[in-house]
Amino acid sequence: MASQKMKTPKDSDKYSVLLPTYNERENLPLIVWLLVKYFSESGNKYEIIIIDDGSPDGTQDIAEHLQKIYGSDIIMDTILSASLLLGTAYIHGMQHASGNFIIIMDADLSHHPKFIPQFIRKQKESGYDIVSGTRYSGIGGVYGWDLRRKLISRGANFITQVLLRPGTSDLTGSFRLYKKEVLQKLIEKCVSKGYVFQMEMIVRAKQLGYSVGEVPISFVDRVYGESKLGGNEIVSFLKGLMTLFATT
Amino acid sequence: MATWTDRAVGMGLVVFSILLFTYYSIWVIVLPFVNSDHAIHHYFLPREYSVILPVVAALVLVLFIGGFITVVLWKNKQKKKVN
Amino acid sequence: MTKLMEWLLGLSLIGILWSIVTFDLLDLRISDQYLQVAWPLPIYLLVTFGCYSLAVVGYRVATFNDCEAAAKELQEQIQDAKRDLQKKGLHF
Repeated sequence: MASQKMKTPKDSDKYSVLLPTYNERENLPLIVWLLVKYFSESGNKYEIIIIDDGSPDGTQDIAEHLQKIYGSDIIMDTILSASLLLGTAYIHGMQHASGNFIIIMDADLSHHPKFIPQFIRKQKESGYDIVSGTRYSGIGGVYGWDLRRKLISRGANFITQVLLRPGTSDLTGSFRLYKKEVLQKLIEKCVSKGYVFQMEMIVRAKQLGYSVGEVPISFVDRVYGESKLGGNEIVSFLKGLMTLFATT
Repeated sequence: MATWTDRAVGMGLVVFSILLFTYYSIWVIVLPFVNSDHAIHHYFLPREYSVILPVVAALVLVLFIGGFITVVLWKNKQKKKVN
Repeated sequence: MTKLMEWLLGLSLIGILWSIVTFDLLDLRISDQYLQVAWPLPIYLLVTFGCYSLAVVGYRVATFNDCEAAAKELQEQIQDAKRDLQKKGLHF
């Protein structure tokens, strides 16, 4: 009985996937292919919105080509802000979004579209306002992290849990499903940058009384070798954490 | 499953903190109720150290973190000057 | 109330209770042995928290899942995707 219901989703539900990109010429076709695969299999209505930050490597040409292949399910937007503030990218993306749900994720293949049907199912289960992918609980995990990275990650997450008590296990994760109006409201209120922005979204969501569900995900980090987690990232994380601690 | 080194380091931290907690708890909470000529007191330093040692350790930690942040911010300033 | 305020409030309360006992502010006449336990208590709480933190982080690092299978699956799917997209006219 239940599985019958799952195969015929509510006609009005549509999922807009926001993909902010910068120099993702290689990964963009692959992530789009995977998204198309899993959405087609699940039968949910969807659209993919690529928000490119003026990439010099030809990402936009690839995006246009993908539009020719896949048609109107793919929308492209270009913004030219030097800093790629995530909030800006999301705001631009949402202007084109015709879905009532928004999915945000990374375009570098660290977030796998196979989890999206699980996000959708979880959301329908209890009508969650937000569903967040977690690397830290259940069968969630990572690939490609060494001991140092894991220690820093777990340590930072622990301090965040103690100070902010957010009720979710993975605050810095950026693989999430939002109800469209919830995301709009939160973006208005959040002021931080980078992954502190992701943290602030969840903390403010809890403040505003929104419900957050979790789905364990596997995070395959193929970028780590090139971009280490340096002193700079750690200090700006601490600064962001202290700001949230004092203001929320 | 994590790699065996990750597991070893992780569980090592767990064991270390359990031992530390046990020793410290006996020192602070149990010893005052034990007769002062009992042999067990030989295994523990004088009581003042139960406060002095953690305070010193905490200061060292704070200095280390402060130093780390200072170095990172200072390096940032250098980079900005160059640019 | 911000988290900072909650913490300040909680710490102040503990501070007041501890002062009352250690400095005998309310003339409670607590026996010597209990006083000996009371005066290092704030530090004891700090050490306990420190040990707890180390243990939890250590345990979580030890049980941090390594997703070998997911990485392999991704590799295979990347190959499938490249083949399919090339058929559809995309050049890598």
